[in-house]
Amino acid sequence: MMTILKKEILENLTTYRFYVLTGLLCLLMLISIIVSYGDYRLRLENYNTLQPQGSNHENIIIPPNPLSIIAKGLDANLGRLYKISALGIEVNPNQQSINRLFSLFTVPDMLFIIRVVLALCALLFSFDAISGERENGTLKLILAGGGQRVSLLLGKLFGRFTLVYVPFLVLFLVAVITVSVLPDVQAGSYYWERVGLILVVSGVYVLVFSSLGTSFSCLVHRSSTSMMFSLAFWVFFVFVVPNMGVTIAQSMSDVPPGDRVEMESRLSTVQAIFETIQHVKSSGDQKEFARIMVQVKEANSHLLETYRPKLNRLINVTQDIVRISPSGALSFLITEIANTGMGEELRLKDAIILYVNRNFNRLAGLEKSPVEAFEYRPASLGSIFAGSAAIDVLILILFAFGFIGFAMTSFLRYDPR
Amino acid sequence: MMTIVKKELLDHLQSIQFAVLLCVTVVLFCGNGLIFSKRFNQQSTWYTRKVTEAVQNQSTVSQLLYVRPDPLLFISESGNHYRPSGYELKPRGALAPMPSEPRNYKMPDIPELDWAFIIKVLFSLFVVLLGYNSISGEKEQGTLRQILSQPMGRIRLLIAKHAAIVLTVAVPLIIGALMSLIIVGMSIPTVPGVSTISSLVLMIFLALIYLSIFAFLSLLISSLIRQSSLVLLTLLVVWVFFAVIVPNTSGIVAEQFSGVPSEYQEARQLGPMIQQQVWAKIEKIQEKASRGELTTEEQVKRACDRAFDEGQEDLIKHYDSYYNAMKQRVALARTISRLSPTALFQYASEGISETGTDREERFMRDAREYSRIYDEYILKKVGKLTGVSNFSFMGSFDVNGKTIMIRSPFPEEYRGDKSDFPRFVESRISVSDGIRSAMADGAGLIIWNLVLAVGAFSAIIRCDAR
Repeated sequence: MMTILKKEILENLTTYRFYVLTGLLCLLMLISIIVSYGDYRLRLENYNTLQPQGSNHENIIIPPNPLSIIAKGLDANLGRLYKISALGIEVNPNQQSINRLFSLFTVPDMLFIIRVVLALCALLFSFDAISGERENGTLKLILAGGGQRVSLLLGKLFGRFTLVYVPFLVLFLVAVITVSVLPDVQAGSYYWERVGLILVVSGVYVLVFSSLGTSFSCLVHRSSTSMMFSLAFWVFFVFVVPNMGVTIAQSMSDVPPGDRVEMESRLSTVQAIFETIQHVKSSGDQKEFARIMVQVKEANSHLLETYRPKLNRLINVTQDIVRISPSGALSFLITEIANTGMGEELRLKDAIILYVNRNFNRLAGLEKSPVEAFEYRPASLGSIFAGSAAIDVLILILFAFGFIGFAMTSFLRYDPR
Repeated sequence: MMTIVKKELLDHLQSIQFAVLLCVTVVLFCGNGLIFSKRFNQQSTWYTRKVTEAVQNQSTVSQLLYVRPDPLLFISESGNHYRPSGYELKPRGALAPMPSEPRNYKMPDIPELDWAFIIKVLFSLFVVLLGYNSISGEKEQGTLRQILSQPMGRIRLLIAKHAAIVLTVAVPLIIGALMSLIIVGMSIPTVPGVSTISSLVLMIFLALIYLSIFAFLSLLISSLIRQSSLVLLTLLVVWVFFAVIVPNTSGIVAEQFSGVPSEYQEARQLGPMIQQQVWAKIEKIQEKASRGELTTEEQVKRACDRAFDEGQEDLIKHYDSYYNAMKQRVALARTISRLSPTALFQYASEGISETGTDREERFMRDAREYSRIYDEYILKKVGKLTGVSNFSFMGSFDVNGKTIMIRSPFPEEYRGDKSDFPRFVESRISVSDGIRSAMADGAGLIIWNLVLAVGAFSAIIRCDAR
């Protein structure tokens, strides 16, 4: 197997295919860093402008995450301004970003390059692993020379995988080192441990698509047919499943989009109650005031208790459907590792809700003590992997082993003539 | 030549590649139909409710104008979910955008599965796969010299191969388009109308022109390079360049050349501007009042209102010039991206489906026209037109030894009969208007076709068939 692996690497290392694809990856990564960093700087400027000053605890905003340069995810959503009061939480809409100019085309962050381009590269290197040898007439010679089929297959698979992953690894390390020395980016242990994890996860993802391409190569006799199947699955996994997952989940879920509008209209009712409260407060009847404030708090809690479980169910169903694709699982995994995923947004919202509940009396003026400062730490790796991230890792590993197993089964029955 | 066309066409149609493409196309177009019809119905419900609320809450202080959902969004979504769902109109033409349509949650960015995306990604890739070994594959098999030894010119061979490729992709394209139209038509009965069908036919025609570019490109590269695998790789790199690199970098390039400050730098400039335009004037009025130059409360109020109005006008001019600068930056970015046929196709499809920045511009024109009518109505009913600004002032003035409080003016609500309140109606454009807006980009696609056709013809004439 090692001989075959070395042969594959050396043979393909000097090919036009290798140089072109490596050059393409390099160019795309460069563009990605430039665009994503510009986007990050703009969000940082937004944070610096809106950051609460002094003892103002009515506005909450968290700084942009430097890892959003690698996986933007929902970092723009996370960086919104939250205005809190006894009446509830008001969320400012998303601020502008450099790519508002070009909302037609996807933000080319590193996650996009890994998810789309690297997967394509892995397929382009592996689609002719077996069928190409057969077309050249060398497959029967290798097998006649006493080579075991399984060793041959694994040698070819890991050889082609190495050819894709190693250049990516080098370029990715150069990219993250460049990002770490850019102004306004603080790269401590938080940054490096997560970057390392993203690298490992990307390796598993490349293995998934390398084994997929190799599987098709073992299934058909012509390389062009293998390429066709590989590309079809690439389109299906990378574009179709994530898109359709959202729609299917919404049609299965019971969260109507107008729920938010109902919430807003109820808040206006709460507003009316609050004006009554102000009137009572000015008349000095503190007991009545306190009773009505508690009523307001209960009304808000009831709203959240009816809405949030439905929303959580919708998100879970969406994620479960999108995870049918390794690309979807990778998106969720990398954005969670980078603390820019859906889980992080929900955690932030929960933290703000708890903060408002804890400080309700102070916000409503029932207590004279000052409102405590809001503190938020992104989720640790332990809590991320205790949640859905572990499932995403398992899904990727399952896909990789599944395709390798399929490739082996197909190759054992493959006619080399 | 027809023999070659028939032979190539049959070869392609009977290949596994075609079968796989057909399956993927059916899945994608059905998905497109399902996704967009559901979304359109949700948007329509929301829009109807909001418009009804706006009609029930007519006001001379502010009025909400909503963007009508577009039934042809399934053709080209063009970043619609980033655009405001409407605008708040205040007296004197102040338009403030509302947030985009409300969502329960937001997934990380995924390209929309509209026709434009399916054609520019999947179909262009498929054309590349069909055409990459058209010449080089024949050369490798040794059949090219046999074909050329027949009394048939090289140009005819090239035309025949090109026609076969385009006809092959036209089959799944038309099947997919019909399936998408059926699904959308079942959910949105207004869609299968004459104007919509015309737009769809135009879209398919445009798609074939776009795909023809990749067919010529494949034939060109296939004639130049001997090895089919190398041809495929080169074509894929060119495809990534056109579909990903050029459109995504044009925004950055435009950013560098335009020199427009960011929204936050602009917001920071507003403070000193308001200070200069409004507060300084208010301070001067206060000084005049304390010196006795203004003797009555009425005079002070009038002077303050005038200062506020002048400040408002200056601020509106400032906002307008910034808005125009942003628009020019977007226009520059789009112009740069037009180097890529993929971007040309995207913009042309926006023109045909009446979506994208043209639609936004048209809405703004309608909103400004309505704003004029709205202001006339306010003048007629209330008697005066007071602008609204994000800043306000309140100050005490000494007039003849008496202290009076003056506040910034605020529009007055008309409490009378509003049965003649003007209603906002968004204009619609005809199919011919859509064609006109897509014409320039369509011409760009034709130019690409001509350039690559000339290249392919030159390459095949010089190609060594041995």
